[in-house]
Amino acid sequence: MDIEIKKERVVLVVEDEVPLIKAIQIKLEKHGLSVVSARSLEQAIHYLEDLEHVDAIWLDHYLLGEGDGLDFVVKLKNDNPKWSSIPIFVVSNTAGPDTMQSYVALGVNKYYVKAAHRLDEIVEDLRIFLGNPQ
Amino acid sequence: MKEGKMFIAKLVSRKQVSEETHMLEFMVVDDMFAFHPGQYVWVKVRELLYPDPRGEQRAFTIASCPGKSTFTIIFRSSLSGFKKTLLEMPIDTLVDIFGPCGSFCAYTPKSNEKMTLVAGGVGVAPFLSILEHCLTGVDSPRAHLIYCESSESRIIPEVIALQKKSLQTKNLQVSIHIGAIEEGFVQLYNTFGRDSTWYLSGPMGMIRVLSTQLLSVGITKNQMRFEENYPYFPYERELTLPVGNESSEKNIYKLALDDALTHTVITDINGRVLYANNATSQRTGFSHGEILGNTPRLWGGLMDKTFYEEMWRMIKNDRLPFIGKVTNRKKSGEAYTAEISIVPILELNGDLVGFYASEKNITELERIDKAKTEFVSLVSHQLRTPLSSVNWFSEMLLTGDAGELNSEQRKYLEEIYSGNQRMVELVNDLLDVSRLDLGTFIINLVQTDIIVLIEDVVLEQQSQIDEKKIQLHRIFSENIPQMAIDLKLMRMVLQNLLSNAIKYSPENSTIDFSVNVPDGKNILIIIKDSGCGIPEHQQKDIFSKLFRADNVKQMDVEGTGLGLYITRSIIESSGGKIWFESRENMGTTFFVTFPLDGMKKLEHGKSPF
Repeated sequence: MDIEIKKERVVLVVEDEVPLIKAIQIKLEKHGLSVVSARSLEQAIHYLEDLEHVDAIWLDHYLLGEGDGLDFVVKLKNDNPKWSSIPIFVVSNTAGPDTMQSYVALGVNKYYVKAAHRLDEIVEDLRIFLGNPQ
Repeated sequence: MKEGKMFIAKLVSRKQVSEETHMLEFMVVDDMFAFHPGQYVWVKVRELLYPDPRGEQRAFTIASCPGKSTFTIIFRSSLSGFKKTLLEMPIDTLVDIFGPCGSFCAYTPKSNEKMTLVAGGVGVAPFLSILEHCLTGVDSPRAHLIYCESSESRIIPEVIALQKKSLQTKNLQVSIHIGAIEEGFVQLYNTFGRDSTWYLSGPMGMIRVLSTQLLSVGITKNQMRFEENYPYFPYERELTLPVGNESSEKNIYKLALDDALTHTVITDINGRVLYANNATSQRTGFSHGEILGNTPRLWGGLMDKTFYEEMWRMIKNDRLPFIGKVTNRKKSGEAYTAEISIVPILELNGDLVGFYASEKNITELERIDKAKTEFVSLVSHQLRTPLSSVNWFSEMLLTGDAGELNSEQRKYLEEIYSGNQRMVELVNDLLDVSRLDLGTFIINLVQTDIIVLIEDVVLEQQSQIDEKKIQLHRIFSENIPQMAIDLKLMRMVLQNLLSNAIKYSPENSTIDFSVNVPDGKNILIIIKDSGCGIPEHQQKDIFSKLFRADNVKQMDVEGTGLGLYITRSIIESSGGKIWFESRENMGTTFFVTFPLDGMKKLEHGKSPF
C-alpha cells in the first residue's frame, strides 16, 4: 500500500475583524486546510517565526495596532528569504485602487475585495492554487 | 494710423484760461514740425506724479500753434492722475508726442457747403481750422457753430473770439448752448434746414444722443460727419465713473457699491481696474492704491494658461458673461478658492467699454463639501465589514456548511442574502462616488481593443440577457483602432449602460449595441433599448446622484440611482461626452463618445455638476 504523506496545508489568516476570522476559518477548515489567525502585524510575524511552514497567507489591509497589510508584505519580501516566496492573497474591503496597485507592485498573488466575492470563491481559488485535493 | 510720428517735446508754459480749463504749450525738441490747430496728438508723460488707471497717455486736440514746432492743448482739469500730473509737472519736463492725427482739421470745405458744427467743450478744437475757411470771403462755405458747454464759466476763450468774428460775416454763425442736449435741440439750432452737413465733435455720449436726434428729424447718416483717423487706443471709449464730489444722483451707484458686501471690480476692456470697492480691498488684502490701474491678476493669475484664454475669449470675443472657479492669493500669500463672475459692460450700440467682475470666496464651502464626501467614504468603508460578515455566513448556511436546510429556511436565508447583496452594491457605488468627488481615482491608461472589452462585459451579463430572452445586436465597425483606456473605469461605464438597457427592457425585446468611428476622430458607442424609457419631465435629472425616475420606481427593478452619476462623471472627466434620447414606453438610446487618442487623466476635484 502506498503511504502518501499528506502534508497539512497551513494558511495564515491575518485579519482584524473577529466575525470574519470565524467565517474564513470555518470555510478553510471545511476544505481541509489548517488555519492560524493573527489580528495584527506583530502577531502575524510571531506566527511566521514560530511555525515550521506556512503555505499561504490570507491578508487583510487594515490590521489591529501598528502596521498595515502593505507593511507586512514588505517585511515578508525583505526580512527573511524563507518568507518571500509564500503566496499572498489580499482580501480587503478598505483598500482603495491606489493601495491595490501598491500590493500588486509588491508582488502579491491576487487581490480580492471582500464584499464583492463569495467566500467559497476565494477559498476555491486558494485551494486550487495550493493543489490540495478535496 | 496713416499719419503721425513720435516726437519728444517739452512743456513751455501753462496757464488757466477759464474755470477748470487750462492751456499747456509744448515745443517739439528733437525735430522740426508744423502742427495745425484741430489736429490730434497723443501726449505721453514719462512719469505719472499720481497713479492713473488709464495710464500715461491721452489724446488732445491742438488748439493753436503759436510758434515753430510749438502747439497748445486745452483741457479740463479733473481728478485723474494724468491731468494732475500735467498741471503739476515742472516747466521743461519732457513728454513723448505721437501725431498729428485727425481728419476734421485736414478738411477743406467746398465753397457752397452748408455746415452745422456741433462741438462739446474742448471738442471745438478740431473745428478751428475749418472755421477759418469761413472767414475768407464771399464764396466761403457757410457754417453754423453750436458750442455746447455745461456752464458759462467753462467756455473756452477761442469760442468767444470766434463769436466776435462771426458778427462781421454772414458766413459764420456761432451759438453757445449751456446745458445738456435736450429734446428739440436739433430743431432749435437747425439754421440750414435739411441740406446741411452736420459735423459732430465731442464725448461719445453726446455724439450718440445727437446723432439719434438727427436721425429722428430726418437728417441721414450720410449727412453726418464724425472724426476719422482717430487711432484706436484702449482708453478711447471712456467709462465715466462718478467720483466723490459729483452730485449724489450720479453718485448713488458708487455709494451703493463702495460698501456692498460683495467684492466688486470694474475694469477697462484690457482688464485694468478703474474701480474697486472696499470689500475687494479687504478681501484681497491690497489697498485701493495698489489695485487701481493694475489688473485682477494682482491677486490671481494662478490658473492654467488655457483657463484665462477661454475666459478672455468668452468675455471679449463673444461678449458673454463668464463664471469660473479659481484659486487666488491674497496679499498675505494666503491662497483661497473663489467663484468668479465677469460680465462685459456694453453700450447701447453694442460697443464693449469694460468689464464688471465679482468674486465669492468658496474656500469654506469646498472644505465642508470635501469633509462630507470623506465622511461618506469613511462610513461606507466601515459598513463593509458587517456586510461581509452577513454575506459570508448566509452563504455558508445556504451551501449547507452548517447542515441541510428545509425549504422555508432556505427561502428566508435567500431573502437575507439578496438584501445584503443590495446593500453591498449601494456601498460600492457610494465609495465610487466619493472617490470621484475627491479625485482619488488613479487612471491607468492601457492600449485597448474596445471591442474585446465590450464582449467581456456582455459575457458577464449574458445570464441576465438570456433570462429575459433579449436579443443583443452587435453593430461593430471593422478596423476600430486601439485606444488608450483605463480598463476599470471604462468597464464601469459599459457595465452600467448595458445593465440599465437590460434591466429596463421587457422580455423578448432587442438591444442594439453599436460602435463606430463616424468622423475619424472620435469613437461613438450607442446602446439602444426598447424598454420603458425615461419620462420627459425627468430627463434633465437622470444623471443626478441617487435619482431614479418615477416609472422605474414603480417597476420591480432595483437600482441605487448612482450608476449614471458615476458613468457620466467618469466620461466627462476623461474627455468624453454622454447624452441620450428617450421616449416613455418606447425605449432609450445612450450615446457615448471619446476622442480616439484616448481617455484623459481625470481632472482633480469635483466632477462636473
